[in-house]
Amino acid sequence: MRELNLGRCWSQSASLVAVVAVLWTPVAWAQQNGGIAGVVRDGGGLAMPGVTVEASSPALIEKIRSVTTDGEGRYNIIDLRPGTYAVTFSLAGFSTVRREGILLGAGFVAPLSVNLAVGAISETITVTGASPVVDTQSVRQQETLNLRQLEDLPSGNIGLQTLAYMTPGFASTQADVGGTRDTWSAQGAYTLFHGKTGTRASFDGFRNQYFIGAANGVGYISDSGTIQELQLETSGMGAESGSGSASLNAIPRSGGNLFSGGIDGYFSGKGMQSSNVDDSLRAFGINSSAEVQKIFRLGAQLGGPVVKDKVWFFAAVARWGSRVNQPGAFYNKLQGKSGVPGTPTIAYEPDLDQPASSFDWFRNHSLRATWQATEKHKFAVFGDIQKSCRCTTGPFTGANAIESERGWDWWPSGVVNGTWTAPLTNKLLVEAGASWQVANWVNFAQKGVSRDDRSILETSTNFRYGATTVLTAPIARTGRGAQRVTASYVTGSHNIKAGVTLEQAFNDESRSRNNETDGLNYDFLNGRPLRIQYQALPFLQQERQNAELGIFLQDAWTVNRFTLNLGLRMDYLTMGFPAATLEAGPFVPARQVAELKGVPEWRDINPRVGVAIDVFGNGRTALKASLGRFNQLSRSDLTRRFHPFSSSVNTAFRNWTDTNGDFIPDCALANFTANGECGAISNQNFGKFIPSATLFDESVTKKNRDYLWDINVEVEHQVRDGLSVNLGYNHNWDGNFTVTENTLLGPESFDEYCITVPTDTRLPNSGQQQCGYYDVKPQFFGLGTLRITNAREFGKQQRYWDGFWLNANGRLPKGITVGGGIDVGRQVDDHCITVDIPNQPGDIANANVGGPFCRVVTDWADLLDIRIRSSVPIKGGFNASFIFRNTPGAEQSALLTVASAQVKFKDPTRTALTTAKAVNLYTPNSVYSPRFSQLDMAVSKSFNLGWGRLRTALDVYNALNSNSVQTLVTAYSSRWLRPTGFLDARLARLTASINF
Amino acid sequence: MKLARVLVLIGVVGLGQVPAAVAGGLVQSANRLAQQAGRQAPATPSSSLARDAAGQQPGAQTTNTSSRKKKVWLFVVAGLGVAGGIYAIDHGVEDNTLSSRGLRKD
Repeated sequence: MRELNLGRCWSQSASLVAVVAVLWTPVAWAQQNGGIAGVVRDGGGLAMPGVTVEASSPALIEKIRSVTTDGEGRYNIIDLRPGTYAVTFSLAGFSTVRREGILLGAGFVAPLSVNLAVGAISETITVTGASPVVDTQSVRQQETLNLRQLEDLPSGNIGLQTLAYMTPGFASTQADVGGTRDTWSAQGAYTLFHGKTGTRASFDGFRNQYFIGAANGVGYISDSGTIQELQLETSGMGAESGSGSASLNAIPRSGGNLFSGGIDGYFSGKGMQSSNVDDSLRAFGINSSAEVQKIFRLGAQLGGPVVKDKVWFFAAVARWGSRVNQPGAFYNKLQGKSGVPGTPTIAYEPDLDQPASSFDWFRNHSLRATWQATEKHKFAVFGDIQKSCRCTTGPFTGANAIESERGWDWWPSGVVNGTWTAPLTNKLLVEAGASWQVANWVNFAQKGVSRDDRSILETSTNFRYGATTVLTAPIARTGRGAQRVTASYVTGSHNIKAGVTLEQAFNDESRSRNNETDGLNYDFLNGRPLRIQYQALPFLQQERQNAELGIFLQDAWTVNRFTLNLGLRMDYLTMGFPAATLEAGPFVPARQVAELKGVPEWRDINPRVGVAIDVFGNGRTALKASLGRFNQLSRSDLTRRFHPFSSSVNTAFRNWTDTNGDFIPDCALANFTANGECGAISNQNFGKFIPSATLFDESVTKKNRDYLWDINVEVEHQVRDGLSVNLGYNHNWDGNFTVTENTLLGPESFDEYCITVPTDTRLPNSGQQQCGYYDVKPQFFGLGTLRITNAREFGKQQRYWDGFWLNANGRLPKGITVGGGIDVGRQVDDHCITVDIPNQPGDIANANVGGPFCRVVTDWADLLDIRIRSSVPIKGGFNASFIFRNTPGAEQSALLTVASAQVKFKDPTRTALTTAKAVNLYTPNSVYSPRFSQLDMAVSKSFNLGWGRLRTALDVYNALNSNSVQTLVTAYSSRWLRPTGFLDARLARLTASINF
Repeated sequence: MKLARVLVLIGVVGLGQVPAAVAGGLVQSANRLAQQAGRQAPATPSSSLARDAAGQQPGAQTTNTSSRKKKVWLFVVAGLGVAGGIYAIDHGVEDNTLSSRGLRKD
C-alpha cells in the first residue's frame, strides 16, 4: 500500500503549524468578538467630532482600545473580546464621561451614546446603568452563553452542542441525559435549524468538523474547562461567514493580569438513576433501560500573567468519560470457544455475569498564550492535544453483541491555532489567523475478540456477533487547515471589512476486516451457515479539499437610525483525491488510481444584505431585516463517489451450504463460480471499477454548488433593564438539487402497480388500495448508465421553510435569568419532478423510496418547539436552575417491503416485481409520536472561601423521568413503532468546583 | 515573578501524563521556588488570591509572608491532587486502544 505523508507525522506538523502560527499568524474571527458603538453629542444635542473614546477591560491584554468620533459624532470600537468594559469619553473643554459595567458577549455590538457637558476635562462624571441588550446595528440573529451561565445551568457535558440543545428551532436528535450519550455524538448534535442542513461548527472561529463524506460531526472534542463563551448564529450572518447556514462557535478562555483558575468535577454512579420503563414500553417487550455505571469528570484550569500586561497564559487539563450498561447486553460466553479452525466464534450465548456497556473517555491538555508584543501587535496561540477513546462506536445500544462493536482510538488528535491582531491606527484593524485540526480515529476490536474472529449475522433475528463488520484501520485520519486575513476600516459611520479565508481538508480511510487471513464474514440462519460475505481488500479511500477560498467585502453603514449591512462574498471550492496504489488482496488484484483535481470545482457569488433600525433612537428597540445566500457546507461525498476505489463493487456474497457441518466453507474461495459448498458470487464485477457505470454531468461537478437563501425579519425590544424579547419570521429555501438519471430509461420504462394497505387501525389508510408505485419493466432491469446531474434539468425541486419565533433573553428582578422561547414552522419538500420514475426522482445516491408522496408538508403543529431555561438565585448562596424542552416527537413512517404476491400491476399482463420493494404506506413526516419532553434541574450552593469560591451542585437530569421516544422501527412489521431509542431515565449528578 | 513561575510549574504538573520522575523534579523546583518566594516577597501581590489570603486590599504595598507561603503550598497540594486524580483515572479506565498497546500500524 502506498505510504501517505499527509497527517502521518502529526506531531511534527503540529509543531510546524504552531511555529508558523506564531510567526505569521492570524485572526480573531471577528464575529466572535463584540463591539461598542454610538454617538457623542453636546448638551444642545449637536454631534461632537474629535471626542476620544476609550474602552478598557481586564479582558484586554492591551488594556485600552481607543478611537475618536467622526464628523457626525459617531464612534465604533470593534473586535473586543467578551468581558466587562468601561468606556471613557473625553474632549478638551468638556467634562469627561465614564460609563462602567458594560457587559459584552460574543458578536454583540453594544449601543452607547452619551452627551458631554462643558467643563474641565479632569472632571469625570461616572455613569452607571444596565448593559445594553439590544444590538441595533447588526442584523445577525444570535445567541450566546458565557462560562458563568453555563455553570449555573444543568448543562450536562458542555460542548458545541450545548447552545443548540437550548435553542428553539434546532431539530431534536438523540437527547443526552446528564452525559449518558457518548461525548462525540453528543457534541455533534447540532444539525437542522429551521430545516437548514449544514451547521458550521467552529472552535475559536476556525471550522472544527471532520471531512468524511456528507457528515459534519465535530472534529476536535473541546474540554468544557477551556470554554469562555458559546456563540450561535442562526441567520443574518455577514459576508465574512463561510459555507454553512448556521454557525456554532466555542470561544476559549484566556489568562489575565490576575491569576485565576479552578478545579472542577462531577460524578454520577450506580444508584443515582431511576427506571423509566412503564407499560407503554413493556407493550413492546422492553423491560429494562440503560443503567449508568459512572459518568465522571475531573478538570483543572490555571491562567494568569507570565509578564504583566505583556504575556498571559491559560492552561487546562481534563479527564472525563462514561460507562453505561445497555439493556439486555452481555458479553458472549462462547466467544473464541468454537474449536473451528479459522473461526474461533460461531455462536452467541449471553454471559449474564458480564453485562456489556457503552463507554468512552477523553484526555485533554490545552494551553493558550496571549502576547502583546508591542502596543499595536497582539498574538495568541492555542493548542490542545488529546488522546481519547470512543470505545464502543455505534453508539452501542445492545441491539447487537458487544463483540460486534468497534472502538475509535483517538490518538493523536487535537487542534493548534494562532491569531494576530493589529489595530494599526484607531481606524484600521488588521487580523490574521491559522488553524490546524486533526483527528486520528483508528478502529480497534472489542475486548475478547481475537484477530481470527469474524462478524456473523444471525439472519433470523438480525443479531450480529463474533466481531465487527468492518474496521476503519489501519489508517483513519481526517483534518482541516484554515487561514484568514482581514482588514477593517472603521469610522463612526462605516465599518468596512475585507478579507480572504482559505480552508483545506483531508480524509484518509483504509478498511479491513477483523479476520486478517481472508477478510470474510458469515451470515447464518438458525445457527447454520447461509452466506459468505466478501469485501474487496485492501481498501483505501482518500479525499482532499484542496481549497475553499472566500473573498469578501462588507460594510455596516450607519445613517441616522439606520445601519445598512452590505456584503458580497465570492466562494471557490475545489476538491479531488491523490494517486494511490493498493496491493493485491486475497480475492482482488492490485489496483491503482491516478491523482484527480477539480471534482468538484465550484464558484459562487453570495450577496448578504440587511438593515437594522434603531426604531426610537434610544437603543432599546431594533427592527431588522436580512437577505443572504449561503453555500451549503463543503463536504467530500461527491468526490468520494467519483473515486474509483470507493465506486468499485466492494462487497458481494455467495451462498454456502455447509454439507458436512464443519463450519468451514469447503470450496475454492477465490473461484467465483459455484464449486464445492459455495454458490456463485452475487456480482461478477466484485472488486472491479466500471468507469462507465456512473457519469457525472458538468452541471454537477463544475457548476451549481448547492446553496440556501435565507430571509429574516425581526423586532427586538428591551422590555426592562437587562431583558430583551424578539419576535421574528424566517423563510429559507434550498437550491441546486442533484438527481440520478438512468440514460436508457424514461417514464415509459416503468409499470405502475398498487398495493393493499394492511388492515391496522394505526395506519391512516388502513385496508385501502393505494397506487402510484412503479417498477422497471423486466426487459430493462439492470440495464443502462447512471448519470448524476442537476434536478433543474427535469423541473423544479423545492425545499422551503416558513416560521416564526418569540424569544426572551436576559435578566429579571432579583437576579433571575431567563432564556429561550417558542419556535414554530412549516416545511415543504416538493420533489414532484420526473427523472425516470414519474414524480419519484432518485437522489445522488439513486435512493428512491417508492410511493406517490412527492410533496411532503411538515405542518405547524408538528414543528412547534418550546425551550425555556432559567436560573434563580436563592438566599444563602443557593441557586436553582432548569432547562425545559418540549419538542416534536419521533416521526412515524411506515415502510412496507412488498413482494410480487402483494402487488397488483395496472398492466394485467404483468404479475411479478423485478425485486422486492420497500414502499411508504403514507406520506412521510405527517405522523408523529407524542411530543418529546425533558426537564433538567440543578440546585447549587456557593461558599465564599475568602480566596476563592467553592460551588457544589446537585443536578437532576430528566427530572420528570420521561421516557419520550426518540427513534423507532419504521419498517412495517410486527415490530413497527417499537422504540429503538428513548430518553434515558432520571439521573442525579454531583458537581463541585473551586474557582479563584 | 517568582510566584508566576511557581504557578506555571504547578500548572505543568497538573497537565497530567507527566512521568512521575519528571513530575517529581518539577515539584522539587516548585518547592524550591516557593521557599524563595517566601524569602523574597514581591512588592505587589499579583493575584486576587494573594491579596485575599493576605487580608489586604487591592493595591496594598505590603505582603504577609506566611500567608503567601501557605497559599503557595495550597497550590502545590491542589496541583498534586489533580495530578493524582488524573493518574488514577488514566489507570482506572478500560483502555483497549491500539496506541496504548503499541499495535498501531498507521
